[in-house]
Amino acid sequence: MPFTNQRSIATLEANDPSTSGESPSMSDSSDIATAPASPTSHLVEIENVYLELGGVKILDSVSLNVSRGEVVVLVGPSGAGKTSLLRTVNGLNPITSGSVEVDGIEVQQRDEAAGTTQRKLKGPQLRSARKEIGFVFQHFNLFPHLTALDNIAHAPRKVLGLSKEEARERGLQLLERVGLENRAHTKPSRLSGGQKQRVAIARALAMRPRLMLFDEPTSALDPEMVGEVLDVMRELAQDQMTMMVVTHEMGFAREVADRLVVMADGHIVEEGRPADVFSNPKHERTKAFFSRIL
Amino acid sequence: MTFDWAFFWDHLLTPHPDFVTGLWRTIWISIASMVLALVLGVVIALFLRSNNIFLRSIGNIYIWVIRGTPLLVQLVIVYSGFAAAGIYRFSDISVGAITLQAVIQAAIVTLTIHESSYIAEIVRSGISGVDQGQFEASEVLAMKPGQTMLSIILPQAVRTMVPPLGNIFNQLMKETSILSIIGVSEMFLVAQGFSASTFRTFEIFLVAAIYYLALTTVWTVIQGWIEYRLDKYMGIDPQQGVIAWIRELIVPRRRRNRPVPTEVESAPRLATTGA
Repeated sequence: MPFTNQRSIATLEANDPSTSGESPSMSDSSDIATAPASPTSHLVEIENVYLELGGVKILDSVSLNVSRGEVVVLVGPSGAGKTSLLRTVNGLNPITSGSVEVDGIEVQQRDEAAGTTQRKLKGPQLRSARKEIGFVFQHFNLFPHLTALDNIAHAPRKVLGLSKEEARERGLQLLERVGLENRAHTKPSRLSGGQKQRVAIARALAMRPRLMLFDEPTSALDPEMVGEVLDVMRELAQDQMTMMVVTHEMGFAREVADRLVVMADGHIVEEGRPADVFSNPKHERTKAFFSRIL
Repeated sequence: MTFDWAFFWDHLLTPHPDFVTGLWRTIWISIASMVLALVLGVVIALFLRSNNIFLRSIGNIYIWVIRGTPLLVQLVIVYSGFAAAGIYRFSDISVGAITLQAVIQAAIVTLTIHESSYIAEIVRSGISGVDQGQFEASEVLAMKPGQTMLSIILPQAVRTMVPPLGNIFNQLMKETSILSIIGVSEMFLVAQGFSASTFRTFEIFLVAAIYYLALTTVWTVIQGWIEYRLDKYMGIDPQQGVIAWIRELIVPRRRRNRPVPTEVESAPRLATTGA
């Protein structure tokens, strides 16, 4: 591995939003939990993570830190392990060894030397960690039996204990934010793909997470609907939401990402500012990847 | 052929009060057993899906034993066998003016146990049929497994479960005729009594058959309505009004094209009555 990413993000910490504060221009930015001031610590710390599924090595010694307010875009050929890495961050994929911390909470940790004692957080701890992490799926995974509004308001009611009125209020605000206030009482089957994904983003935001994970959020969409979803994500980034995004939308990566991470074969092969990586890719795999898609 | 038309029409259109009582008994025993069997069946299904190997084993053994033995045998064991062995003897329970006969208790208990073993498999496969993404979506929203099951998974699983569960209820209503063996005076036993006293066996059982058919027909209509409502609930567009839906019951068109609902294992059931 010619490029290790250890602490290579020092330059980016100057951009840490917790020092620049909230952006008062966004009237509804209160929907997002802004990170408390602790500018030195990373929100996400992925240390030396290995992941094996069915004897196949999916992630091989991956380390990646994400600062508060940073937008990290993961790109790379399919099978590179981008989605797997994203899923380890909130414990959807149990790791083989290494550790994953979000906001100081160890989501998972496993020491190979210690043998078989895999420590994935037990239910309650894992859940309290997950309250802080929003996840947006490629295939939306909206609840088909609930209206758009109820999809959003469900978890705040059940998990955060909001009253019906509060949850509804929060849901309506978020629907307005993603431009779907007139579809509040529509079931997902009556929404277009782009609308579904915007509801899914609103659903994740309703938990007021500190971190948003996007797993190829536009890959299942018709081309004409990609823009509306990216617009919502762009606004989120402007509101200083910390985001990790797996995507094939290179335009979005170039424009919105603070850092571009290129993965191949379970490794991080290259990372840096998108403009630099795009214009001057150093690693062979990066060049090969860009030459195929750009 | 001798067929007493007057007797037939008389009993069909103006049934004897005993016959009406038997009919109602058939209906409410069926409903009570079905409701209880649903609850028990969901519990057993959750056992089958449990991470605890002990609970999984209990669920498997339960289904293996209950589904592998005839209802008739189970009925006699529960009512007569347990009493004879001194394990448990059913006795009448009175709450105010209402008395629940010992035989009816035994009947409901047995039917509940028997049907729950089939229902458990239906519920289990119904749950398995819900998209894995729904579990993941609930998981990342930090919902507890119980909340996920009750508010996300089961409501969706119900749609695929209704057609096989409807079959179960249909069979259950007809199977209540077996209860006559322990002396529950439901519709079949009443008919048998008339048959013995009048020797109009063909006529009276034809009347009974028509009443059973009426019961299951009413249920078919109700089931169709439930499916129609669930389609709307799930956001699957039924694309038809009530009239089209009734026509659908008679001339199924959409049903043919529907994705096959959860496979139900239809083990051989008792075809003969205990008469």
